[in-house]
This record gives sequence, structure tokens and C-alpha cells, in this order.
Amino acid sequence: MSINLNAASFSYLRPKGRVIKAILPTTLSIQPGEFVAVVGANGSGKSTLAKLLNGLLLPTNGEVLIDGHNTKDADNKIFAPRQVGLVFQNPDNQLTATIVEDDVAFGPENLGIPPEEIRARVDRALKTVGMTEFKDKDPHNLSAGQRQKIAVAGILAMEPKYLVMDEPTSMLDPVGRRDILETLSELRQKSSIGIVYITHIIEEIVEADRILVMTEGKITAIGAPREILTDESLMEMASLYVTRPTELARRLAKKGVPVSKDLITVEEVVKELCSLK
Amino acid sequence: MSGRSLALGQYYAAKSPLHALDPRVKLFLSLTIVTALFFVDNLAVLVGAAFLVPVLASVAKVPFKWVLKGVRPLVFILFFTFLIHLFLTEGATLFAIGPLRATGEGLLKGIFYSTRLILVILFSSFITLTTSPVQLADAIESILSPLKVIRFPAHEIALMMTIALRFIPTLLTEAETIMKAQKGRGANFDSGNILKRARSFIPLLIPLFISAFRRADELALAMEARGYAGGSGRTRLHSLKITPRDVAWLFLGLLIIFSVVGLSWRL
Repeated sequence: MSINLNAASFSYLRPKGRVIKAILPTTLSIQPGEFVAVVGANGSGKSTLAKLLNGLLLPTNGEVLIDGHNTKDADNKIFAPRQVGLVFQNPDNQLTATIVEDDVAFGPENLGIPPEEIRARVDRALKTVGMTEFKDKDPHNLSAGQRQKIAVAGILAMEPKYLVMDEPTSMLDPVGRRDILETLSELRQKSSIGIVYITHIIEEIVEADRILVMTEGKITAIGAPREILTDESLMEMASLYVTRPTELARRLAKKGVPVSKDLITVEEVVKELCSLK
Repeated sequence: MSGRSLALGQYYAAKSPLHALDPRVKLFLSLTIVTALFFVDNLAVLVGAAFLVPVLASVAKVPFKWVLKGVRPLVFILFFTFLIHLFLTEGATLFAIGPLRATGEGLLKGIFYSTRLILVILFSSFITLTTSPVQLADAIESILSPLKVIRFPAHEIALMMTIALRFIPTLLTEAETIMKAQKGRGANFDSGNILKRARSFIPLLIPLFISAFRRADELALAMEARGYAGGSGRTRLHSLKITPRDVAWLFLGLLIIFSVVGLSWRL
């Protein structure tokens, strides 16, 4: 059981016969329970990849299999979004209802789940994101971070096996961002949901199992955070910056302080510095 | 133009028997009340019926003042109705302004018709006061759903209503933001003649429209990602069900309405 891309590629057709190759043939496998981060500059194909993963876009060539089901098969029109949830960037443009719990219910309603079961799922999803007390509120009167949590709850209520998040924090203030990240880490601890997390904020993904780096429609690198985030030339090629702890360790090393250069979190740097005499 | 203070359809959230009543029953009852009001031709009975408004307000747990707010936008029409009847009814002259003669019969008729109009407004406002827009959309979908047989898009219309309601405050806030941005660059929205003012709204409307289309596009994607594939096969979290209590309220309502109409015919 996994999401598999078999030489899947995707091209957008533009007027006058222009073809934009958003994703070059890519082979990739995402396991349930895994936390995969996808980074890359704007226009590197991250969002297109996200839409390929849940059947919102169908590959131009090659195939995408979700637990063995091809997204191209008409029978899987409902199956794909049921298995792979997708949270978008702008919380405002994902919510359909004027009351929080009605919105969270939208997905399960589409799946034709019986009302009592929807009730239970909505309550559970709102509890997971910590928004139970807001269930009767109008999302318009909540903060952007809270609205994004509602959007996450709306997807969780569909009980997908995989959750794809496309820059879910990029339109949020620091508090909203922290909120979403806390929800995410709690989700990872309490469930075995597979997460694909797209971002260009490196600090958010130091705990990922794997990081994919995308440049111009290709996966240019794939590996553990320490491997990827400390590879200076790779990061530069993908128009990414290194994390502040990495930068600090690197500068210290340059000045002759004996610290390791592949530190990625604040805790690691603190530990390393405290062990110096 | 403040997006935040917008009270849509002036819904007043509370827990009352009237709020809990099935929205379809409420729609039916208020239609019956409005029709019945046109059958009442006795001013005394009409004034008597007016006393049911505060009673209904207290049952609905809506402050009476809040209910009266519903009349405010229509004050001009009410006043106009009153004047027309006052001056254009034949009868004994009360006083005259130039060629216009106010008559005693006109005064009575004016009071009667304005009272009737006020009552129509007040009674029908209980629908929007005690029913959330979403419930109202659900009720409309349910009432129109028999027409699905002739391919009438009942579900789509209800969904459109809900989404429109959902995006009105969002777009109002956005309009405010764009307006501020344009003002910051020297745009002037509130001076000059009507034509000039209308033209000054173009730089506001164009970005607003573009953004609305972009939002619509993203929303469509997000809905598809949440498994939306049209109305068939969908279930609802709050499916409308007529309970014995709804039936009891329905009969109580009809009893009151018919006795008021009956009373006015007796007199």
C-alpha cells in the first residue's frame, strides 16, 4: 500500500499550442505513515505534483497509483480524494459553508456517509485540530490560522490515508503558522496518516522523514533532512536558503570553532556549543 | 462599507422553539400568515394581530427592538402608501394642501393599509430572524427537489446560495482593502457628479472581479479535492426531518391564523 508515480509526467496546454512541461517523467513512492517534505522554488512543479497525487490532475504520460488504483480509471474519481486529502494554500478559498461544522461535513457528505457517522467524524476532526469550541461559528470571523485548521479538519473528516498539504502556512501569520505545525505534529503522533508537505520554509520540515527537492519539474534530490539541508550547492540550485542553525554552525566553523557543519536544529547547535570547553 | 458588521438576513442566533422549528414549516406558516393578512379587512382585528408580534418575538427569544429593525428600510414605502390613501380617497375633507384633499376615509384607509404592510413585513421577518441562511438554503433545496424530475437544478441553486453567502463578507473585506489601496494611490471615490463617481469605481471593480474569478477557480478545485461530484449520492449532516413537534407547531399556527381571519369576517 502506497502512492506510486510510475514515470508520471504532466504538461499544461496553453493557447496557441504552447505546452508547458510542469512535471517531467517522475517515479516516486510514498508510504503510509511517512512524512515527506517537498521543497523547491516557485514554478518548480510542487503544486502540480500535489494535484497529481490525489487525482485532481491526471498524468499526461505514465501513471499514478493510489494503493494500487490508477487515478486515470473513471471508477476512482471518488476513491482518489477519499484516500488522498489535499489542503490548499488559501484557507478562504477552500471553505464552502458559513458555519464551521457544516463546512467540515462537506467532504463526508460528498462521500455519501450516513448522517450519524458524519456527526461523529466532524466532532472527531474538530477535536483533532482543537477547534471544537468554534463549531457553531462563522469561519469569516476566525483568524486565518483557525480557518486553515478548519480546512484541515474538513479533509480529516474524510478519513484519508494520506494528507497532501500545499504550502498550508504561506498565507498565515506566525501564530497561525505555529498552530498548523503543532496540529501537524500531533496528527503524526496520534495517527498513521502519510503526509506530503509542500513548502519553501525550511524550518518547517527539519523533522521530515524524507525531503524531495524539486527544480523545473524534476526531483533533483531526495534524502534525509540532514543530508539535504546541509548540502550548500543543492540548496542554492533550488533557490533555497539554509536554516539559521545551519548557517550559524557553518559560520562558526569558518572562524575556526570546532563544531560540526551538518547541524540543522537549534537544539543541536545548543548541544554542540555547550559541549565545547 | 464594513465587511465585519454585516448582519446577513439579520439572523439572530438563539435557542428557541421557533429556531428549532423545521425551516419548511416556518416558510409555509409565514406564507400562510402573509396571505391571511390580506383576507383580514377589519382594522381592529389587524391591530389585535399586531399584539402577536411581541408574543412571537418572546417565543423566538429575539429582542422586540431587533424585530422592529426590519421595518426601517421600508419606512419610506410605508409613508408613501399612507399618503396615497390619505389624499386619493373620496370622502369628507379633513384638510387640504393646494389641490390635494385629505379625507377622513382616506386617513382610516391609510392607517389600515400601512398597518397591514407593517404586519406583513414583521411576520415574514421571523423567517430570516430565526433561520440561518444555510438552513434556509436547505429548506429551499428540499421544497424544490420534486422539480429535479424535470431536471430543475434544485441542489445546485441551494449550493450557489450557500457559497454566495459564504463569500459575501470575504469579498466585502477584499473590496475594502482594494479601496484603501487605490485611495493610497490618490484615487477619489466620493466626490464629483454621479458619472464621475461611477467611473471612479472601475479601478475597484476590475481587481475585485479578477480576484472573485480566481477564488471561484480555487474553490472549484478545493471542492473537487473534497470529493464533490454533484448532488446525487450526497448525504447531509443536518437532514431535514419533520418531527411530531413540528406538526404540533404547524397546527397551532394554522389554528391561530384561521381564528384571526374568522374573527375578522364575523365582525
